[in-house]
Amino acid sequence: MPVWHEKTAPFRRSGELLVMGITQEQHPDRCRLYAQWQGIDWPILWDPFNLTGSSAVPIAMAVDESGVVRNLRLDPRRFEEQFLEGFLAMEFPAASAQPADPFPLVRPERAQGAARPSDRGAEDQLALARCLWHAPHGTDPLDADGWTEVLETLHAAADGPQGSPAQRFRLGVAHRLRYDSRHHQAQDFQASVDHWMTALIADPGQYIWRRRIQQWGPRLDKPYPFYDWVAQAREAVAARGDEPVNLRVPLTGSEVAGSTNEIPQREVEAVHPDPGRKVPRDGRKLIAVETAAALHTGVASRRVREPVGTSRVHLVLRPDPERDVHWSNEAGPTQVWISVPEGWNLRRNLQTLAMPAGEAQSAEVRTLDFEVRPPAGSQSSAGASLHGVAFYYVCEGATGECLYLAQDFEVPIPNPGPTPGAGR
Amino acid sequence: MRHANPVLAPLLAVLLVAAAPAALAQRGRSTGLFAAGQPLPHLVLPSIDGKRTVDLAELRGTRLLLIQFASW
Repeated sequence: MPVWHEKTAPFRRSGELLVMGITQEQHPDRCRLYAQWQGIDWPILWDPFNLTGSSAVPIAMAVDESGVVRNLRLDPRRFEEQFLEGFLAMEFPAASAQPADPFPLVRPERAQGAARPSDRGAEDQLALARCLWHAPHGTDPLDADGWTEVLETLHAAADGPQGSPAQRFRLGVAHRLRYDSRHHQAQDFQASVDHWMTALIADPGQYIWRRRIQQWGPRLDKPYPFYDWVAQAREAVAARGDEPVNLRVPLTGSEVAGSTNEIPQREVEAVHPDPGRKVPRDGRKLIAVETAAALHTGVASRRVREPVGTSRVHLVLRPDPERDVHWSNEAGPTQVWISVPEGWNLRRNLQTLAMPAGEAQSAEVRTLDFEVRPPAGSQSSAGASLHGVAFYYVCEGATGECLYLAQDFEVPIPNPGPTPGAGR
Repeated sequence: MRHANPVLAPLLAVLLVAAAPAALAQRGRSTGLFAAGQPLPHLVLPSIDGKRTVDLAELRGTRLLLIQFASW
């Protein structure tokens, strides 16, 4: 984008040209930070559901003053020939065709209303509208029942006889939107990547969908780091004296990790912190433990480099806010022990989660993501299950006692297929 | 002069219409909802700050560079 921003500056200033972006990503505030960093002042629209139907980005299009697309594949390296001479300098006839209306109900004014009889068969469009205008900005967020209705409608559309891979992808997007909302369900993260994978299996050439999985997938499958620029952007914006755009959903390790060709190998032999299972278990679930696993997208096709078996496992530990549960940082760190089946690769069995420096207590959500690979010769890690134990120092209420507790959990590695076992 | 077969001609026309989007895509003349020579569709999307909505079909009156991208 910076190259288009720079090259078109004189024409934007003269009023001869309008530039507009459409971002194909899950979280709009990340694009806001990028635009702030790059000094991009033209409007950018948000299309998390890939309603444009484009299968890859970037795409730069020239549109004349009557709204007709004149060039779909502008190349900034051919700026003078394609853009200046072949577009800005050209005269075009006025449009004769009427614009198509592929999503007549995905409009902000329809986001509030219930479906009318005439809308039957297009309830999924109304559900998309409710997500698109309510979910990410918190202006009028969906409540828990609203999310349930939206997801049930999108499930019905994707599962129905007319269900398409695109509807399956959009269902995954909605699950992820709810996961990042106040009404998140523990299974939403896994449901999103399951639905995306099912959509990608049906259409392996859809790279917008593939990238959505790779955002949380293993490094072996990543074409490049996705959000490694964020730290640099924050520093640069702050150095200008501005407040960087806040990312409402924190980045996970996979989203900043670089690509690699190396298969994960065991680095450190660790000792299990509780071999005799003597640490008391957190039977009251003061901490909710959530897991998700994103498979290598090579499962959907063989267009990416082998081997395809590696998966990225995500672990999320949430203190229960209803009971004012918080971490006791001064007592010690949160650790996780992961057991893998014989022959599997995992860099470290024992891992320590990051915690805020200098705070005796805190109540943030703690995350960890890591990669596992089945034994050589296995084509996929799908269908297996890993066992883990989380160890943490936790307190309940302002004056409640603090305890050292453990919690066992399982990490099922999903089986990709046409009907994912995803929750609603 | 050859005359069209009255049985095959309608069938051929249907096949040509059905194959048109794929052929356009192969020649780089369409992508998703967008096709060269066609008006922008009525697709309404919110801005990334949630403060406005835009119907692509209403972007008329000024030449436009429309860029689909992602910050990743």
